[in-house]
Amino acid sequence: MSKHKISSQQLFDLLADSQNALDLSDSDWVDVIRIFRSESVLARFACQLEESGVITQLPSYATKHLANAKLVAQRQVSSVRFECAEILHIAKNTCEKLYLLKGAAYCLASLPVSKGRTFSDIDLLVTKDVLAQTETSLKLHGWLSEPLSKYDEAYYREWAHEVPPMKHSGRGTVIDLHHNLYLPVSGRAPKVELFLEGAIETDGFHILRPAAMTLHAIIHLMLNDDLKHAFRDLNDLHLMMTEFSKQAFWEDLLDLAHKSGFENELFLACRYCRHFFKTSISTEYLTKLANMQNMNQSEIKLLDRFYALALSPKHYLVKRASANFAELVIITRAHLKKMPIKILLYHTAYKVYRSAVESLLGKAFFEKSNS
Amino acid sequence: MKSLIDFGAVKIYIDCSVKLAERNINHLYPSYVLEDNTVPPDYFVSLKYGGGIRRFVRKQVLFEQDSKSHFKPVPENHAYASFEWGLNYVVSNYAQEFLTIHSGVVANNDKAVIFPAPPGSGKSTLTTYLMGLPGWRLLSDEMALMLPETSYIQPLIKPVCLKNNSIDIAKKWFPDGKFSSIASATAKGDVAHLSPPASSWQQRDRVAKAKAIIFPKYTPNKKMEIYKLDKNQGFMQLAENVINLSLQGERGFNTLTHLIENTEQFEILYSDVNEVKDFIEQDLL
Repeated sequence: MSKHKISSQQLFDLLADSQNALDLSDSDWVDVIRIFRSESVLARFACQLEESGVITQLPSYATKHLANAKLVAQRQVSSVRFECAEILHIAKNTCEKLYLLKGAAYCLASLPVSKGRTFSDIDLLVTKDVLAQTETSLKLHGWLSEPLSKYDEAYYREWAHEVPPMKHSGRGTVIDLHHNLYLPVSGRAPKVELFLEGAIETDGFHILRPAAMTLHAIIHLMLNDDLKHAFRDLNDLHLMMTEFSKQAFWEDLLDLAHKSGFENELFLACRYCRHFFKTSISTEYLTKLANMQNMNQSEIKLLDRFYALALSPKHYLVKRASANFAELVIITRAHLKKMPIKILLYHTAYKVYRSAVESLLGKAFFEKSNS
Repeated sequence: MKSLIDFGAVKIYIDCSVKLAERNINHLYPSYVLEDNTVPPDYFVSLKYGGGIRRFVRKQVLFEQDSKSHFKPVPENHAYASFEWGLNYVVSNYAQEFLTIHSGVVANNDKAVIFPAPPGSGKSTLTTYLMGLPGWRLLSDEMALMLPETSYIQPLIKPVCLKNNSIDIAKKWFPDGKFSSIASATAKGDVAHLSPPASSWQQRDRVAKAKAIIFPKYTPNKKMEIYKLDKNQGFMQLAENVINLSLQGERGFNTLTHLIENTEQFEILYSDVNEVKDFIEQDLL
């Protein structure tokens, strides 16, 4: 029997509707589990299969791996809740409002997008006036910055919207402490108050209102230079939009994107969610967005082709040869938006030097061998 | 080489392009374990040379799980050892269908004895000695994989890891044994692996029921001393050696309780492995 090869679109379809899992053959399951595990969506898929009841009809190979992934994700949820309680205890005296962003926020707000989602760090935001004291306070309680090269340290301090990541010296959990949602050096950093307005108090933290939470996730996906989790991140957006899809949410989202200058990003995110995950977004809304954004048709067409590759799973079973190039284009574009050209050239020169040394002398050149 | 290895508890597809490691694998793993292609692989790992100039000068080797690396590269001489350790990492982190106790485990007549203990306690030496005796088989030299809420252990059959002095001791016990080449000066010292006897490989799908838990402590020049632990002590000491207790939550706690209630627990100070064997065979089984 010649083996049928799983396609990217099939993987989008599985996450969009778990009923599709009933069509998978035994050998498809081996591929799907591998790919979803490496895309960090296996536990989420497990939760969806459980909710739809499909899980009871699956082969034992699949249920075993799905249950295992779910256990690991559950453990992360309790760990995130524990860390959040610790952070609140430490930081509540240094600032009036402590905002929780991304994964940890979805988790504390118990949103559907948090079910089975895995985390790599906890994202916090405080206003700039209390940034330094919050950072100090966390450091005093064991969250220390890893040693960074002088260049990277300066990158964070001068250009970025966050301080260098802080890792707990005992438990290894990582905090990203932000003071804005996007890099100030870009000249595009929004007035952060626009996003913080109407934040909802949850377990002592503040969590962005649905439109602000969604737009932040959009900025993160569409303008970030890291597309490693792009498939998962786009699915996050699909789940958020599906959950929040009341009229007021869509209007607020549009309004916020307009005021903060992220109309293009909102337009593209809605376009790709609807295309890949069949997210229910009305055609009128998309037309409205199309009229607000300022890219021309040929730029959009080009972006469509690159994003189709960059947003698809990256596992080598489904990765197209041109995906690396697409990613490079998108990252370069993200960088161009992020930094004035002078700074970008400087930044690129440094990163090129680093990767030239790594490709010439081996990836581990800057690290020591284990023994 | 590309091969699906059947370890009993898990099936792992390996893609190994490092000749030295490949030779060791072919030498230590029986052909019927390497050639079983009837089951779907649970995990995919590879062992490859690092890139860049390190391909030629002071070669480095990288262990990856499905294109993701969990470890820093190691010198070529450590390739096979790092492959075995990498596999242990994959099993203990991903195979959450078991409660995993860091321990050596052997069985006699499907009755298992668990030796949980920190490195240096002599659990590997003890496990190695017992697996070679008539009637005995290996279940694992590294982790007891407990089926949830039972006292049954699923075998994980791989070559056992021997360190420093225990390599020579094992060579005396297993004059015809299949040993790997020695990985010298690793983080754990000099390391060699030994293929378990055929009966262990052949029974890799056969569960055994835990009868006793023994916390060994190698104490040179000492006559054996045995301390029976009460259930509370047994539980607490065992819990310290469970790798995924908090992850397994209530189910893990229940499994551990079940195990403690259905076994006896001892602490043993010993210098002669044969005394331990006599105690187990005469008093426990």
